[in-house]
Amino acid sequence: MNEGGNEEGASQVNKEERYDPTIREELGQADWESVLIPVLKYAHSRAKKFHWLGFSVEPEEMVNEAVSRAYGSGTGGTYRNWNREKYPRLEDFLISIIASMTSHQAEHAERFKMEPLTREDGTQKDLEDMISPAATGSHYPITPEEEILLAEGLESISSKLYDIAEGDEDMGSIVVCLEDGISRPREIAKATGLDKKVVNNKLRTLRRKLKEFRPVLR
Amino acid sequence: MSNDKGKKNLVFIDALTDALGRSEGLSVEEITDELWEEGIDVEATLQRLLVKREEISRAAKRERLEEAKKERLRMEAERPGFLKRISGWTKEQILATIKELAASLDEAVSVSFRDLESKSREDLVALLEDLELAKQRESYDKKENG
Repeated sequence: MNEGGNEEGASQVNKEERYDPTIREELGQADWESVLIPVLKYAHSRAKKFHWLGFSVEPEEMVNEAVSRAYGSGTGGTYRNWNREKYPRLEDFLISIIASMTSHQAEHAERFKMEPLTREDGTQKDLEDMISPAATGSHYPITPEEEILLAEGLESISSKLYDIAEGDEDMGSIVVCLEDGISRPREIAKATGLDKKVVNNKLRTLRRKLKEFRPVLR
Repeated sequence: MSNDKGKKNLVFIDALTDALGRSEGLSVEEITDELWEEGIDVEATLQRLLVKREEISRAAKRERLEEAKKERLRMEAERPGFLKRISGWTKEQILATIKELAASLDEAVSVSFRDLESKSREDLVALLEDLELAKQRESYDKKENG
């Protein structure tokens, strides 16, 4: 389980816990321009996962849903209470919400079908329908053909990463961390002994090399 | 994708997209540059997100006012006189009671006291109602749990 996944447990709505409306006071005072930039970057990165697997999720919708949940009015009445001790920075709290929404999908991708965000008539589906089917009870068993395509897509991404790391020891160490589910730069730095700046630079290189990547399906 | 390899790859791609999305140690300017590199029109996207954030905030406030209205009616039925009592209060009296109630709650509440003074009386009354409700819930929960 990666750290994004770890955050899922912390972000699930405890039905016995009520939304704390005083959080809105603090949300109202936030410097949203600087808060939203890293959240947008995270949403774009997470959207790639779906894109690589042949599905579409709109990053802006993810950000909006995270903001809605923080305000206590997410899709289907979902909400998240901001734990300031765990996430002193609002951007980290919002990122944890997106990590939760999208990790959930990853965990359920084996059992649930991912669908486009639009209905047949072109209207937009609720994001929750798309990325968190278990939460809504709308479970769709994937077909054996889709299962094969999904597996091939994942295999293709995995192979691409090892190709990128070929001949680059530091990059290789980072890829091994990712394979083990270690995803936070500081945790990668700790696990590999690399400087955090080096980790960030390598991740930037990885991002650039994956920019135009499309999984090869046989 | 029922085999271990498939599961492992899912963890891998999850960690990859998590790692590539993190911005630890990067300034807002650096993150903005990265988004531009990705081909994202940061300014336009940010403006849309800010507008949407305003809408979400307003909708949440409306929702809360609706809830507060329902709760007010319920409170009036359960404790007639509370709302009537505070209706004639000064802003200072409301502020003092908010601080008193917030301090008396078992559950920590996050009230940003430094900005309360700038709030409208309507907002303060709404906050006071929230705290009063929280107090009532605590009393109710204690009674329920013996």
